[in-house]
Amino acid sequence: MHEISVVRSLLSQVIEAAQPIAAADIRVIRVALGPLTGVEPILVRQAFHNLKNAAGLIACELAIDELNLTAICIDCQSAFEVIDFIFRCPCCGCNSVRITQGDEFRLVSIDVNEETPVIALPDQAASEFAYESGKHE
Amino acid sequence: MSNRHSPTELIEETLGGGSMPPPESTLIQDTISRTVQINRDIAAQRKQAAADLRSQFSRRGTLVINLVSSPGAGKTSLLEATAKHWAGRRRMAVLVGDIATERDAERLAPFTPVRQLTTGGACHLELELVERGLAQLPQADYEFLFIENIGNLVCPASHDLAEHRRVVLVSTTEGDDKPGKYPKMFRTSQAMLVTKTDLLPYVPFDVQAVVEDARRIQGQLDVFQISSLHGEGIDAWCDWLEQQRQQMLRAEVKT
Repeated sequence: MHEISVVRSLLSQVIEAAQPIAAADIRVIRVALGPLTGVEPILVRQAFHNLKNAAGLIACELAIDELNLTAICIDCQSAFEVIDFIFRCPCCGCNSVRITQGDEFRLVSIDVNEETPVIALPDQAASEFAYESGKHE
Repeated sequence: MSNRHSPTELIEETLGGGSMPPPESTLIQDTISRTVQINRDIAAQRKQAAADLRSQFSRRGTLVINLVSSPGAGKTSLLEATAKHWAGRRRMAVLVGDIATERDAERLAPFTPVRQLTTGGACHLELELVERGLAQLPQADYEFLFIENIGNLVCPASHDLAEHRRVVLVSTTEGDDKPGKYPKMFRTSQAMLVTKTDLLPYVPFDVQAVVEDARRIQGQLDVFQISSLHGEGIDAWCDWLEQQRQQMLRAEVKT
């Protein structure tokens, strides 16, 4: 999709969330990336490499946890992995399923140099999982 | 809990599976690092803005439909046929997106209030453009607002435009194998319109196959067969729109 703008947004959110820690003291950015985001991990790594220095993240690496696409059957409640984007419950065969993981690009954590001041970050509540959750209200 | 990463671990972690140039690992000395949990959806702000605007539409009684498809699948023709069908009995408006020209707005202007959104190259509409177009419409109390997205089955799938329903069009001239190739678009849609059905006798397009393919991805998809040219299916489509609006109004009363 639009990895450059997605990564630019990621980096500015990292720097904002890390304050007062300086960008140069951020060592690792860990993200979780699902297949239904339309965001390609290889292009994300490339974009990160190209944008990090300009953002002041000179010593920073990017760790990407590539997530599986998983869902839960609304009828029989069984949880399963969605393979080849076929959203059908392998247990009861019904196609009324809710995505539980894999449609999000999430900033998980950052690793910072220990000698930087300790700050208390609010544990941001996970915003809605599925894009779909906003619909059919 | 503090994590200690050696430079080599970091490099392995970062390069895993990718073709990245080597990181500047010399900068990472043996200082101890500490992990700060953040756990934030990168798109959270954008999603919230769309949800807020959607609530505003619901309160106003405006059902918003985001029409998506490949270029040339018949989005504008569908809107033309819809406006003609209602013939002023429903208050509708259209925001139509294209990379360039006002052609679609000019086509629709005789039948419905319409504003053209030109992206100047961007391959999808974003919420800001929709808000700008909204401010230019003559009224605010429409029963139905249609957003005709840029013809593209990829990027528009990732952009919530504050719509209540996303409707994807597949025309009989573009092949019945589209849903499986663009799963996100079909997964995030609530209805699929098979358009240009008047051409079915002349093209190798299997309606049953496209419906099965789409429902493997989105089992709840409502499906309509439409010929905007001849009017086939327009009644059922307009009935569906009315039902969706009633559903939205009932949900609004409950909240």
